[in-house]
Amino acid sequence: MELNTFDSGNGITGVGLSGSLDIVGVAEVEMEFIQIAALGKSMIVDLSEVSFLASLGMRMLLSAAKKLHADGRKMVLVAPQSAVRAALEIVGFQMLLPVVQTLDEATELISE
Amino acid sequence: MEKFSFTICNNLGSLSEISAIVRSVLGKNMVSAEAIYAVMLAIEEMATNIIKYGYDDDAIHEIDIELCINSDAIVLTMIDDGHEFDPLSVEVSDISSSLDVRAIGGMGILLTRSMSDSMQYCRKNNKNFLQIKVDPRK
Repeated sequence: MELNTFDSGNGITGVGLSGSLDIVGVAEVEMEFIQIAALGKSMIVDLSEVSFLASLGMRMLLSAAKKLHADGRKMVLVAPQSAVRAALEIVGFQMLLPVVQTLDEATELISE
Repeated sequence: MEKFSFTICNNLGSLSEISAIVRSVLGKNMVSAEAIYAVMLAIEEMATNIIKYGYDDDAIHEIDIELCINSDAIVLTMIDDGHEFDPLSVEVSDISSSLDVRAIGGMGILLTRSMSDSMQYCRKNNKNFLQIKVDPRK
């Protein structure tokens, strides 16, 4: 599991996750992900390279999203693969935070 | 029909080793990507629950995982000697609440139930038997 950050301008942190967000994958990136969420900036999370997402991975995303929301910030998920998108929909993620297809859409949503 | 049996110990390292093997077995058996996802998810979620909450002692316990791959059904059976736990008895968390109040737990069981075609549980000889079916063509 890999985590890379990228600059999205406007005080937004971009995070690209890559690999399998299962119990092992989450253990590898969770600490860094939480630290990024604690920066107090809105986050764009690129899921396009995530091939598998289990509930522990969802907990990691959700905990960070809750923290950002409490600070008046946003988290936007970008480009999940179809199986990952289906899993997110089962647990109702789309009702909790925006899930969009492109980084541009995500930046626009946060800048609104 | 192809049948595979694995035994893992109650630690997460053991689970991840078997997950990699199961993924490769399913990939060689003409199973759809969606069905592979569903089986991998069921193993991860259910085994994690057993490992985390199934035991009070520090002893090593074995969890048996059987996989029968038929043309019309993948049957996953997990057997453990942990506390009695029926994942079908758990009330699924409310997913309609807002981000502020939404609980972060309970998603694993919801995901497993939704992605599998059927789940059956029984307690026999002080062991939990959980059987999950997934359509390999879906």
